[in-house]
Amino acid sequence: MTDNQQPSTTPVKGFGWTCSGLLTPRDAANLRRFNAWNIGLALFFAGSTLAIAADLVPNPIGFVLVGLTLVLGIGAIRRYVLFLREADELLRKIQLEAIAIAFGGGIVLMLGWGLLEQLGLPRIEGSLFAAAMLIAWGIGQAVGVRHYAEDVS
Amino acid sequence: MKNRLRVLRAERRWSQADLAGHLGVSRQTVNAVETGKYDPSLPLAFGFAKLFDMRIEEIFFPNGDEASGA
Repeated sequence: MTDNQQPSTTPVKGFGWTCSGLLTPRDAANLRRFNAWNIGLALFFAGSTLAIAADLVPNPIGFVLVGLTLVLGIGAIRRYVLFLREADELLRKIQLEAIAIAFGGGIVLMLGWGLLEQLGLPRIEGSLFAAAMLIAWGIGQAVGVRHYAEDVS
Repeated sequence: MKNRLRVLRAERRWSQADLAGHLGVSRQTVNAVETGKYDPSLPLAFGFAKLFDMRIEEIFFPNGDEASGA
């Protein structure tokens, strides 16, 4: 039962472009925290990549940068799991379906491209598959929102 | 799964947002349940039942079994 939770159900605009209409204030707050971790991770990853690639840091510090990047990544995952646990149940379902599309799509793309490479197509960096999974995650959310779109009543 | 939520809500002159507010879910969730696009979790179904002071099977019923719930 949800009697003791009582979040307001006024939709919050401006967050999570595809699911914004589904966000209760609690979901929006959780998503803000998740986004903050993501921004921190992205900035730290970019900085670490540049520093290591340009040989700006000695090896021991490079390992520390990698370790901190991983810590930020784990923190972001934890925030996303907490967001899902507390999310409105339709939003959670849409997110689950989007993750399925992203994860499955990524696997299929990797396997398919692996075969195409054997046929002579150029090799693709693994990070591009990760980017494709993120894009598929966004598409999956849009598909979910559209699927459960409300009828005018 | 079909349901009588729209009728029950109309009887009380509640909007979807009102109903969502009572249950702590988004209005879109209420809409998706009402239109049969989404089957609610058991806790949410109990929430509907408690709110309308009815049993779950009086509100929700399998497709093609509408009469049994009325």
